[in-house]
Amino acid sequence: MNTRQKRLCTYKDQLNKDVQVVTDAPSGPTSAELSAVEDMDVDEEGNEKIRFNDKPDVFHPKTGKRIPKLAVKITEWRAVATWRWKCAEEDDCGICRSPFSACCNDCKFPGEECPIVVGKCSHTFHVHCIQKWLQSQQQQRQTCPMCRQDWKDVSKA
Amino acid sequence: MASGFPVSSARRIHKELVALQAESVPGVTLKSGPTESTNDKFIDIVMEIKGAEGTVYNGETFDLRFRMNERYPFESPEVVFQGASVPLHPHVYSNGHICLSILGNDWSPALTIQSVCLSIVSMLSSCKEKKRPPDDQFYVRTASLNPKHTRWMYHDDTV
Repeated sequence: MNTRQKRLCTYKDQLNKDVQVVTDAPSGPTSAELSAVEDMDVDEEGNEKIRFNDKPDVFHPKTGKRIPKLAVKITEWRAVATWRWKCAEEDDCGICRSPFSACCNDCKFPGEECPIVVGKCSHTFHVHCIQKWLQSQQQQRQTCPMCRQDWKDVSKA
Repeated sequence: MASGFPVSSARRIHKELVALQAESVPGVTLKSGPTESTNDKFIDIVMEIKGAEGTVYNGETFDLRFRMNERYPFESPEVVFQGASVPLHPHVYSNGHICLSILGNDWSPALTIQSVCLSIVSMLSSCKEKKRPPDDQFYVRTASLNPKHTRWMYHDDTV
């Protein structure tokens, strides 16, 4: 575990503790705990964006005790997204046996470089896989490998 | 797998072998392989199939040799019975060649080693009387070693 990961772990533990303190035990943390929180430093670049510690103290309405603030400086954040092909098929290509979320056996990277196609019969394949199959059928009828119906590419129709 | 053998074909064979071990079908087991040919032209796999219970082949085991070339799975594998026991069946020649449409014209890249084994087990299971094809003598004398060089006529769907 490197320093950064260790830091993130302590940060997470501390965060959980703080949340518990606020919701379940409004007595507030001990000074030792507080200083631990305030000593926390997730900032590596020094360009902090939000600093909760700059806000005025908040007190608990019933007990009158100070509610600890999250000692969090958000220095950097990255949005992460996932993607999947829009297809109603099960997950693997029937030709190369690789998942649609991966690429065909000839490609290196999944995604736009190795798209999928849906046939009129609703069977789905990597475009490279079905092309290789249709080419190998030559003058014969071009059929879907799964159901042997005539292959019709819906996206082209 | 083989260095000169195309990666895409080798990968597909590898995935099939992994799947074969993950979800085994009773009576169908991997006996040996994958073995690369010295010239990187094909990969051999030997499957052992068991005659199903309640059929004329009950208790018998047979070895099926699959030979996948560099066009696999866009081209069918070469599948023959090998070794001492070649089942006595109207669609199986005494040299081990099998007259089965999915190994020829009706091949599809969606078929697998496992599904071909199952088709052959089922072909054996529907047989009521053990006998060789009527043209066995002639065929065995004239046929190429590779059953894929034979122009098969699939004339009998009952067995």
